[in-house]
Amino acid sequence: MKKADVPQEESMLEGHQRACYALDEQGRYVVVGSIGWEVEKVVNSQANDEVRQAIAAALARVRSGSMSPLGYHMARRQMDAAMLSAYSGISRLRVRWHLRPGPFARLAPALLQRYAEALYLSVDELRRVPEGEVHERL
Amino acid sequence: MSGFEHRHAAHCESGTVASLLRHQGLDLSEPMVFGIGGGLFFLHLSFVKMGGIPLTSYRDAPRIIIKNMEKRLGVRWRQQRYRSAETAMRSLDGFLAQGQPVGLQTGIYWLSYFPIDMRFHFNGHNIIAYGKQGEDYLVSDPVLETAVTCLAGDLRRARFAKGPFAPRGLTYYPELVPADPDLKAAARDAIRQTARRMTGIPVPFFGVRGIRTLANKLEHWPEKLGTEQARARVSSVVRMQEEIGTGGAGFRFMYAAFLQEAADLLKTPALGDAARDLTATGDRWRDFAVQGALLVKNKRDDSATYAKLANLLRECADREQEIFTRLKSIV
Repeated sequence: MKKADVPQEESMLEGHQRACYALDEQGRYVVVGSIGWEVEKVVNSQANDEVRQAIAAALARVRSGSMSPLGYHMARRQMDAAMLSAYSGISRLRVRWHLRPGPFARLAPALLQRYAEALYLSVDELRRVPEGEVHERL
Repeated sequence: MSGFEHRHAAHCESGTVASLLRHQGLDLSEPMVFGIGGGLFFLHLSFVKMGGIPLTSYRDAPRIIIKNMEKRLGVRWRQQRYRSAETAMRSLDGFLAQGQPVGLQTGIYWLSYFPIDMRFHFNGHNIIAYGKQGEDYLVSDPVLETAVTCLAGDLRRARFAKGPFAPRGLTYYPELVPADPDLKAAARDAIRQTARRMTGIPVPFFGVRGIRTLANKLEHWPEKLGTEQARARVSSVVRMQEEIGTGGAGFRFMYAAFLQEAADLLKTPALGDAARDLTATGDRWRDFAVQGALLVKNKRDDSATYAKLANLLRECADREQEIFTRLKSIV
């Protein structure tokens, strides 16, 4: 890749630059900053769309009463039960159990606190889901 | 020791190691560190899945560069992990109070100085902490163009991210850096080993064999997995190649830059020829990325598109087989 061919296209880098290695006029490698590449944007969007769809699906299930708010916050942190278990120290089976609205509603404050810390939320946030449409990924 | 200098790098591990060594008086370029560190590789493990997607990597295992600095240049590292975040943060403050910049392994998800769309759970991200500003930390993240301030809470969570490759607070810095290491011998040894690993591992997951395995599997993804899943997999391969900070073409351009430097160092023009050919191969990898992204974007799921992608991969495998076989006889 030559210096002039380093892509400078709109991307998810939000003004940051990525260091690319490219050839200068003398055929020597130099570091060239790139503000983005359409290719990266496409594959990054694909990954982020999956995250957003998982969050939207979880939110719908919480609102329809088939899943506890824990499921929404887990999706929002891009976690599955195994990862939330690793973060909270609560076994995977129990995490799955607490994804049900009933058992979650009866959770002891100490366990709620552990989930809240693992998900980097307040206990108050953990207990509810946002109203209206959710666009934010976090 | 003070006056830490941030430098923009393509890759987090080679960038971190190069900066830490330079701070201690050994000034090597990032490609040199990457090359001597034996960073370049390829693997495709269809039986190891992350989030349902097989593992594809254009580089060798995390921390291989750190280890090879010890093996090839005689750098002695001090490395420490911690049980508790409190101890780890206290210990970090201690290093910084002494003016010692340190490398930290972190989970990128928790680092809010990254744009939101780039934050995924990946726990192998290396950064350097080199000072404090009030409660917060002065951080040199090699993949960013300037140094940043990292919130104390972010850093603490990132150092104790959980899941695969959990960093457990890993902190490292070179305790002993030889003033005048034998770079020639190191470069030769490194090229030999990378060439062997790219061409000589007799299982179909690693090196050029791994590239061919990926080609064969990719060709059948749409009929085996359905179009949506097949697209997600192509997308993930392209991400590993281009999105995660490889300097372009899955580290191939950076390795070519290393070969170019090695050609001068060893006064071996044949290495320069290899650099030129690897650059051309990198351009083919970029073609693969472009075609892959087109498929993902336009949802062109016909088998001809997948066959085309597979053939590009086979071409890259053939070219790399030839280049790395040749490299073995050059050094």
